[in-house]
Order: sequence, then structure tokens, then C-alpha cells
Amino acid sequence: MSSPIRKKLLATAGAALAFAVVLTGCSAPAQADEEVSIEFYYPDQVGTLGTLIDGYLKEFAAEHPKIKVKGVYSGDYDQTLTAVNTAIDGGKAPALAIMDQTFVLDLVERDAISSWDDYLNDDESKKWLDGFYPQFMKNSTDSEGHVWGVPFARSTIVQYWNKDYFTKAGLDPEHGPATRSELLDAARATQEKGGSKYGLFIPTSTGTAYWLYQALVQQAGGDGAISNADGTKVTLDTPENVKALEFWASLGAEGIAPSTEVAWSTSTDDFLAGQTAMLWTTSGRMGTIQDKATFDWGVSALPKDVAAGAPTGGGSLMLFNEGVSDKQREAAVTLAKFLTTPERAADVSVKSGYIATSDAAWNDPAMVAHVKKFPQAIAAHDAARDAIPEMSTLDRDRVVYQTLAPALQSVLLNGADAKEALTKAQADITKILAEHK
Amino acid sequence: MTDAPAVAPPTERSSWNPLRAARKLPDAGFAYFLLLPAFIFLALFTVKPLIGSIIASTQPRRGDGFTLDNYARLATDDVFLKALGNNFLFSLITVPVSLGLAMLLAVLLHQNVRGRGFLRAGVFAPAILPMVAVAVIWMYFYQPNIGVINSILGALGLPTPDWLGDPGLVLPSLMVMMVWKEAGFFMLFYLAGLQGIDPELEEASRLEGTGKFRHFWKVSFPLLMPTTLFAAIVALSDSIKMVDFVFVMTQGGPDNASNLLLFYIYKVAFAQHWPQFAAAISLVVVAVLVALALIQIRLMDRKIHYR
Amino acid sequence: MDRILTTSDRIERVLAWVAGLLWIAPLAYVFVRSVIVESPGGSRFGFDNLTNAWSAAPFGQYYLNTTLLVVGITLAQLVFGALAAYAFARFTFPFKNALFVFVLIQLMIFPEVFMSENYRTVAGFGLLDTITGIGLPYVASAFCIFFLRQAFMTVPNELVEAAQVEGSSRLGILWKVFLPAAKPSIIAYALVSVSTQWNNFLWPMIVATSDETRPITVGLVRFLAPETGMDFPKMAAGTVIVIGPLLAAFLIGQRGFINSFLRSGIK
Repeated sequence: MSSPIRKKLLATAGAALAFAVVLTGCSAPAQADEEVSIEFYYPDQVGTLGTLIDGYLKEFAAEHPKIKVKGVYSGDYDQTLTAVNTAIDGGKAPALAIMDQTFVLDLVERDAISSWDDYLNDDESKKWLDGFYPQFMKNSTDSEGHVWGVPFARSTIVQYWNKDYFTKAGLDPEHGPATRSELLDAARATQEKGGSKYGLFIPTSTGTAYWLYQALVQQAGGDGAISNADGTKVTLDTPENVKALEFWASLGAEGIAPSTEVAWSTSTDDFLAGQTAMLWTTSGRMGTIQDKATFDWGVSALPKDVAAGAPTGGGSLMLFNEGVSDKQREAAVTLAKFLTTPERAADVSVKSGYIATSDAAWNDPAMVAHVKKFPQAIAAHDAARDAIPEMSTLDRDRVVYQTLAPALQSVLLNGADAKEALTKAQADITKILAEHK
Repeated sequence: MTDAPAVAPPTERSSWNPLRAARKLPDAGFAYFLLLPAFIFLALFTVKPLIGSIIASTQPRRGDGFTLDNYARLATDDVFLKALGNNFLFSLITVPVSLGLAMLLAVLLHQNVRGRGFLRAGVFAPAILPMVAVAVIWMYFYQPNIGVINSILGALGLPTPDWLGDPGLVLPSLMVMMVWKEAGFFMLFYLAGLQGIDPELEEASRLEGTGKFRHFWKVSFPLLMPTTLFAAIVALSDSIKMVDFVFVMTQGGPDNASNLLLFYIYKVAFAQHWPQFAAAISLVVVAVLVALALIQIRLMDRKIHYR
Repeated sequence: MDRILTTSDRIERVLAWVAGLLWIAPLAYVFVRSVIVESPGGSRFGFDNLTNAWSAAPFGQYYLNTTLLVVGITLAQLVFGALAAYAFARFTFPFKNALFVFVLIQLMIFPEVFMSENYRTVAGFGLLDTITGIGLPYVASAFCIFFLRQAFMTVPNELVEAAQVEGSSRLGILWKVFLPAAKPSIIAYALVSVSTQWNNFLWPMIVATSDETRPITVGLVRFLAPETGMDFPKMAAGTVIVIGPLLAAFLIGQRGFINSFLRSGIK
């Protein structure tokens, strides 16, 4: 080997060594005023949230110049879960992410997230945490009282109705149906006299069928939560379940709804295009409907049958573990608090329709002004008052999407027998959950 | 303090150019040198994960140990079996239909039609549209109540089915879209193939009074066989890996009627976070793919020996 | 040249137009919708949808990312593929058959099948959310090696010998004899590779998390966000922005493009 080459090699080795030293230097305990970078994944299931969060992150950057946040818009909730799971596999989870509240059980089982308890033990933080409505904390709190998620964009199912069709059908356009029989009467009247093609849409897509089904089970007098708090058991084989599913299937059979799939993503567009007089969907779509509707519309809590109620839904902020340093964790907590102040909770609610998460947020001047101008907003608040937890189990994707949703769809779209389908789903899910003993 | 390094002769310095170093290698060594770059990356992104998957697929979901449960599960996993069946149907239909239509379009647009350039560009256009864009557009076409297709059908007083929401219709609807996207691409290859066929052959058929269809069947079609085999490999592998539309349009539903293998692997690996079972599915898919590839090569090789 | 058109010629011509128009209709509709502005007062012609979409997402950046990816991957595949194919087509060496079978077996294995393993590999190199990380799994293609090897096999020995007499090196022969002879195959493969990478969505979606690295497919889906409902004018505009430039280029240069492609005589 000639010596210039040796020199080059030595120089390269030297440079590599120096580089390594610099790298090690970086990972040494950071100074208080040193910059820290974190990743923050956020989904958008309704179309308005992404822009809002982008705005908040800009404000945050101005207020906390030492914390560099890389916001990653990651699709809907399910896509966000897969994105985070991939990142965990790669050894680098985002420090903070907005996740569907029902992901908690799986993530805790895999030790992927940390409880907020360790970071929120001063009085001020506890007060902040206690301020959130308890129904929004249910899915994020375990039986020992550990808190795994902080409510961000929370929702419940509400009914929207097209006032034009109600007026034409001779119904009171200012009040939506309050009972099951009023609901069916209104659906038929809007179709027969109001000129609407369909009376009522309840989305049956794979991703959300279970959620709407929960409301129907609750209204039939059953346990709408369907699952126990630990997510190790489901109850799908009760008469109330059968009654709920048969009612849902009857909508298609009687022509009140299409007998084929009512797609979650486009059902709002259908409603906006005047295809249906009424729509059950998330309160989070209120912002979109407000922006785009060319007719007068109303919104209220779902009508009751034997009982009233609907599940909560939506996302919570969660702290991920994989490859996250203490310093980054601290920054993530700072960001989470920033994102969930009453003013911002009010802002999210005003602009998207997601439900403000605390009394403080509802009393925020911007929210008060919004409710004055736009009284419909209060409907979500009322609907959320009696809300039940969202169905959540271990191995959620397999249980909910791979087993329960097809079972429901086999009845709704293929005319299978409700009792048989539910009994089979109960057995299949019990088998899946037994793997987690 | 010596300046020896500075006066190193230029020839020696440039001998460190790897290309020149390669010159001195014997043929066998040179061949390995040629293979090296490709094989490093093939090893890294197909062999390494293959071995990794074999190991992962024999491990339980939680804890350590050796198990064949993941493979046993394949036989009983309804969703896997459904995705396998769906994918089989999807490939079985879209590959020949895409190629057949591509051939037909090529024959039609090979002739001297007025506006040929415009028609060719138009048929080829879907090929340069990314699959996800195709999916978003067709999702709107297929939308049951306000979608374009049903608006037209409705105006004509025809029934308006739910293309993506009916478990019996969703897969055929997706196939139509796939064929629309793929046929124009393969048409280009067939146009090239037709160009390569001696025009005197067609003239001869004309003089003999052989019909056009017969001429195509007896002359063009066999001569296009190498193109067909090449296109078939590409089409088959597309029909398995270009399934982005499932993510955008149906998420595999309703009732798993549009679940396809790659989507299911993605779901199991990442959404269900079950890499062990995902690895077992991947290996089955790979085994099928390898078998198909080998069959196609045999066909291709035979064709080449004929020449 | 001009023959008298027979009835069957006429039928074929009509068929060509019918088929062509049928194929074009969906995209034509999208183009039309992209320049119709819907407002409460009615619809009018205008470019508002296009300008809104253009300013709402960094399409220029997405285009650049995709271009880098597509060009980089295709070039790398052709360079690595040609080298390996040359080895298989021209030299004898120990384990040649075994190594060729190794290539054959991978002919249809694409990196996405092993997405979770490959993700770990790329993460291990620290290449997540980089264009290199998106492209790396594709830089060597067994299909390219096989396909070019087939083309190289048909190169007549006399050409090689002539080059040897002239004193060409082994790499020189690859460059001067094999590559020109295999030009049609190289063009055909490049077209397939460009199309595959231009379409690629799943793997880039997993690896790319920022706008600086997202190719146009991922950028488009994030921009359109079909999971949040339908906004057809927005969608039409996004689609036109994505394929408009390419389609225009194809229309302008289509004669040259198709003809040069045809002349290369892929068979």
C-alpha cells in the first residue's frame, strides 16, 4: 500500500472517530437550554383537524423556540396506528401522538406507551387532568386509575337532519326525532312526502360499524359498551344485541336506507347532496357540514328507544416509549399541555365540531360566542353527557375489524340471521381473547 | 520528513481505480466482481428478510420458543383464506383481460386511423396516473348515490347498484378499474411488437384472402408471444403488489370481500402488530410467486430456444 | 400506399375510436371537472380549483422527490443489472448455475412482501424519512438481471471477438457491444421500472413522514385525504396537477416517444 493511500485512510478513520465522538457528545445529558426535537403524529378523520393542528404547531414553535416539533399528518386513526407501530419496530416512536382512545389496551399490553401519572403529579397538573369530563377519561384510564391518554379531539354520535325535507314532510324542522317511533315516522314521512330518496343513514363501513352498533345496543336496553373495562370479554349474544342488529338490518330491508354499504367516508357527502333526510355520524363532522351545507340542518343527541345513549369516540394524546429520551418526553408533555388548554379545546370544538373536553373550555369566551351564534353546537355537549365508553378490547384490530365488522355486515348486506351471526362472533372473539390470558 | 509520498508515480496512484484493478482479475474473479453490487443489495433486501421471516414465522406471538402454530393457523384463518381466494381471482381475471385488451387496442391503434396519436395518448394516459390517484377517481365514479356511474344509470332509468359496497360486486368493480389502468401500458409493448412484425406477412394474408381475425390468430398472435410472456410477468406481479387501491377505497371490506394478500400482510404486521404471523403469510405468498416465476421462465426459455 | 378501405377496415377504424374514447372518458371527465368552479350561484369555468390545490400542497417538492426516486432507482437497477447480467451471459465461474437460480428465485419477490423486516433494515441504517431510504430496497432487481441476461445471450459471438481483436477490455466490451445490442430491452425494462416506481405507494408511505421526502403518490393521498370524505373539485384538481405535465409532455412528444420506443423493436 502506498503511503498517500495510507494517509487518506488514516484521515478518514480520524474523521470517523471525531464524528463518533461528536455523536456521543450529543447523547450526553442535555443542558436545560439545549434544543430538543420531537416527532408528533396526528390523524385527521374529519378533514378539518389537520389544518388546525398545523396552526397550533406554528404557535407552539413561536412560544417554545427550543423545542423543535416535527408534525406528521398520518391519515386516519387506523393509519396512524400502523404508522406508529412501524416506527416502534424501527426503534423510533414519535414522542407524542394523537391516537384513538381504544388503542390504549393493546399499546399498554405491549408496553408501548407510558402513563401520564409520572408527569402530571403536581397540583396544577392534577387540576388540569381532573377538569376533563369523566366520560372522556373512561377509555383512557385503567382499573388501577392510571391515565394513559389525555383527551384531545373527542366526539360522540349525533343525528343530523335536513330541515328542508322535514318542512316539506310537515314535520317540525326545529326538533329532531326524540324517540325510536318518531325516528321511523320521520324517516318515512321525509321519503314519502318530503321527497328524500332515503330516510336515515347509519354508516356500515368496516372501520366504524361497531361504533354505531354500540349506540343501537345501548338504545335497545343492552350494555352498549359491549366489552369489559380490561378488554378481555365481550357480550354480543344477548337478546338486546339481536334486537339492535335486526332493527339496523330492517332499515335496509324497508328501503329507509340502502340495503348495501353506507360508507362512512362519503355518508356526509350523501347527506350534503340531499340523498338522505337524516344521518347518524360523529359530532366531529359538524364543522364540515356547517361549511358545506346548502340547506338548513339540525343536530341533536340520538333518539332513545328503551334507553338513550351513544359511545364516545375520538383521539387522545399518548406518550410513546421506544427510543424517546427523558428530555424528549418532557418536551412532549409540554406540547400536550399546550394543545389541550381550554382555549385550544374551545378552538378545536368551534372549528371542527369535536366536543370541548371540559367545563373550562365550554366557558371559554370564544366557545360562548360560538354557541350564541350557532346554537346547534350545544347538541354535542348534551349528547356527550350520557355517553358510554367506546368498545375496546385486546387485539382490537382482529376483534373489531376482522371479526365483529364482517359479522355485522353479513347481516346488514348479505341478509344473514342476526342471532346466528352474533353467536358466532361471540365465540370467535372469545377464542381470540383467550390467547391473551 | 520525507517527500516520498508526494512523488509516488501517477500510474500507481491511478491503479487504485477499482475498474483498473478489475482488469487484472481472472475471468472468474471478474465475474464475481460484476455480480457483487447487485448481490449485496439483493441479499440485503430479499435474502436477509427472507431468513428473518423464516425465523420470525416459527416464533410465538408473545415470549420465545419454536412453534409451527403460525403455519397451522393459515389453514384456519378465514381472512387469510378469503384474501388468498380474492387475490387468486383478481390475478386470474385481470392479467389475461388486461393483456387481451392491450393486444386488441394495439391492433386497432396500429392501423392508420385518423387521430391515432390522440387515441394512443388517451389509452396510455391511465398508465401514467399513479394507482392511488386512479383509486380516488374511481371511488367517486363508483359512489352509489352521488357517483358519476350511478348518476348516468339513474338518468337512464337503470338499476343503480352499490359498486364498492356490495360484497358480490366490489371485487369485479376493482378489476374493471385495474384493467383500465393496466391495459394502456401493455398496449405500448404490443404496438412495439406489431411494429416488429414484417408487414409483408399481412400483405401475404390479404392476397391469400385470409381474414383479418384469422391472420391475427395464425400469424400475429404467435409472433407476439415473447411480448406476452414479458408483459405477463409484469402484469402478474402488479396484480399482487399494486393493490394500493384497497387502502384508499375499501380497506378490504365489506365483509372482507376485497381483502387482498399484500393488504392483509400489512394489516397483520402493523395494525395487529403480529409480525410472526405476517411472516408466515409473506412466506406463503413468496412460495407461490417463486413457483409462478419459474413456470413463466420455462415458457420464456422454450420460446427463446425456438428462435 | 393508400389502399381502398374495405368494410372490415372501416369497422376497425370505428372500433378504434369507440375503444379509445371509452378509455379516455373517465380522465376527460376529471379534466373538465377540474376547471368547473362550483359556487352557490351556479357553476362557471375557471382555474380556481387548480390554483387552490397548487397552493395547498407542495406539489413541486413531491414532483422533485418522485423524479429523484424514479431516476435514481432505474439507473441503479440498470447499472447493477447490466453488470450482473454480463457476468451470467459471458463468463463461466464456479457456482454460476447456483447463483443464477438464486436470481431466478427472486424474480418475483418484491421488497414490499417483507415490509416489516425491510423497515427494520432501513431504520438500522438511519435512513428513515430519506429519499435514499425509500429507494434503497429497489436498487437491485432480479428481474432486471434476468431480463438483460436474456438480451445479452442473443449477442453474436463474432461481435465480441471483433471487439477483442481491437483490444477492448472486458468492461469495454460490455459498454461497446452488449449495451448497444440490448438497447431495446434496456428501454423496455426502464419503462417498466419507471412506471413501477412512479406508482409506488405503500413502501414510501411507510418510510416517508415529511413533505421533504414524500413522493407524489403519498403526497397526493395525504392531500386528498379520502378518509375524510369526498371533495371532487379538489380531487380533480389534484389529479390534473399530478398528471397534467406528464400527459402534456406525452402528447407533444408522443410521436417521437412511441416511435423511438417502437423502433427499438421490443419483442
